[in-house]
Amino acid sequence: MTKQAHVISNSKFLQWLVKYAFSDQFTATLVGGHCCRHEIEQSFLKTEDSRANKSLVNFSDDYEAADLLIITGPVAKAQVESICEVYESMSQPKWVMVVGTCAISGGYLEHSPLVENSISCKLPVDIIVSGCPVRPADFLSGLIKLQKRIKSGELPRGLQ
Amino acid sequence: VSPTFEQSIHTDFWSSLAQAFPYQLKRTQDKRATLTIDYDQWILLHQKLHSDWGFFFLLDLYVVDQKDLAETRGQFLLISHLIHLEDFLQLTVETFFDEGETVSSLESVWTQALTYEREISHHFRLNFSKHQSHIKSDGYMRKNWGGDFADESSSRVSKYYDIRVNTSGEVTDFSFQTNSFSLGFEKIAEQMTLSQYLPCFERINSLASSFYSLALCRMVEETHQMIIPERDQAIRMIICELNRVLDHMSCLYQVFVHLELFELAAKCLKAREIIFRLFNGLSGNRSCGGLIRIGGLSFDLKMGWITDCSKHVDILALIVDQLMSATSRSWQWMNMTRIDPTSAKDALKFGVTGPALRACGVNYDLRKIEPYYFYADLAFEVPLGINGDIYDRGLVRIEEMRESLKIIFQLIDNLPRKTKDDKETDQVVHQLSYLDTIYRLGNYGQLPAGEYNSGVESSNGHLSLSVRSNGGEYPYRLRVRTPSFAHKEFLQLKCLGVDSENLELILASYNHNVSEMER
Repeated sequence: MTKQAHVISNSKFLQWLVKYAFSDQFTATLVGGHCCRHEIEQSFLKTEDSRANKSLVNFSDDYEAADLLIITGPVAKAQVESICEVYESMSQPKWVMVVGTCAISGGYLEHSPLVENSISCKLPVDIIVSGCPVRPADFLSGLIKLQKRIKSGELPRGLQ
Repeated sequence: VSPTFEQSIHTDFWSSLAQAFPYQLKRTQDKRATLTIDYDQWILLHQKLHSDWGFFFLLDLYVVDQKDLAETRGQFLLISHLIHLEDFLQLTVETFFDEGETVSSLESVWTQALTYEREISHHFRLNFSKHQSHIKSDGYMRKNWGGDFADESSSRVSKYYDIRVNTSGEVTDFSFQTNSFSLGFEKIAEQMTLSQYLPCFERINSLASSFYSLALCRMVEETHQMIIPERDQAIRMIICELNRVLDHMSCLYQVFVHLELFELAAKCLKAREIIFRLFNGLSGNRSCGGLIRIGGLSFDLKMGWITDCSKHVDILALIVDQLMSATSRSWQWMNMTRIDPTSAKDALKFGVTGPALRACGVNYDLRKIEPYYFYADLAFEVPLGINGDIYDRGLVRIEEMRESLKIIFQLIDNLPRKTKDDKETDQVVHQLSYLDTIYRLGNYGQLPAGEYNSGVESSNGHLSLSVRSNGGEYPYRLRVRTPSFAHKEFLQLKCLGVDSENLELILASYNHNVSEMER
């Protein structure tokens, strides 16, 4: 993906305001599988529908409605373009979160020729959560940290 | 010493097999032999073995690139693993061929061979007769691979399977993407020693990690003839049975989520959390084991873990009972899950193993057939189904969880004590840190030249591991036959003509796991 210079217009700023000044909830899409996905499932244990914790994050398959992209597991090189497409189809402003060592830097599969080692070169990544596999508490604290940043008025890296 | 009755049967069998085929037959173990044949006879011999000699089951099919080896009859070595289901005899058939020759397909004998052949043509850039692969292959498993990807394989792939649905909602076309999500787990094994590779190998399927490490460790230990202390064997069995419960729970969780039974799904997650916490207490890692290492365990049990375990296993048994009462006798559940019946003949033909095969009524469990460690001494049963539909598969999984909890109870009651001798022997790795373990046992990862096999009954089915070594530090070729990968061809056939709403339910009931399929 080529980096484009984004100019924030007034309408976009209003969008941002409506989305985040008055709500604490992410709408997230989850890309990838493997160990970290199970741990993320595990971190929303308490709610009735275990896939959605209403207070913090709401998972959906609708890319356009989403504002947080969560990437987990080792990313195959064949997958990279489709992930970039998912990112582009999301509406601004949007955040990217990379979960787990495999997704961050390849992890145990670092030397494999089929695995993308540096997803952060292809996408503007806002926050990473390390761990192999990640712990549910770490994942939740990552989400809360991102929320604090947004409340303090920080813009996503894609817009900077 | 006069041979026992069993041995005499086997010697007769192998000797008559050797007389029938004028090829080189080499017996490696009591129940295992290798047949080296000419390339022209490949299909004909397999047809004969299938029809006349009772080798119904194709376990594995793979290729070794022998470019570096000096004395070979051809560049590629094509290998098939067959199983005789009556006596559980295993036969390995090998043949050599060169670059440029088209490999004849085994599709006419076993339909499931298509999956293996597609993978081979992708890994090694080879052509098979009958089915031409349209996808340009990478050939990354070749020894002299230069790092060039084929254009089409690196094109964007968004979904794991292709699906077409007609207006009435039936699936008309269903196929998995061929190897577009593969991560090269087998390739990186050629760059490190086996003990270095072990933690990576566990991560092929994080929910069944201990079966993978057990398969690798057993193979190395048997070749080096190491003696594992009884305590370590028992602890390994406890971990494996806990892992079996974990994987079955997450399979049922997916089924319940697709049927929108969220209360039951939450119960499964609760059970999963209990097991994750028990693992955390063992090794500090929640899902990916880290305890089973070559030569024993990386460290002994922490103080008080056994009491913790026996407490939590009681809770698990309660949850399993609740699941049983909620599903087995409920009409609502029966109506929803009486889908997709399977006959035993089809399942065997397509190489299905594990709970999915047992739900059709075939009694095939490696823990009973080829008992390792203390499985021969324990009292447990193998639950079987009749119709092989989703209802039966679910029931078999729930019953199996009960049985494995029973096994854990028995093991905890009779857990062998730590003896003084254990610490003194060189092969035991108690009280060592993890890095020390790797350093100290680095030599044991090295195998003498030859071919090595091992098999473990994992939660999804028969997990078999084959390693070729040329005597070097690293394995020359490592091949793992994961159960989910073998189900691929069968699922493609099963999902045709099914309501598109039920499609994901069927996939979930087989516990089809992307990371296990595409290694």
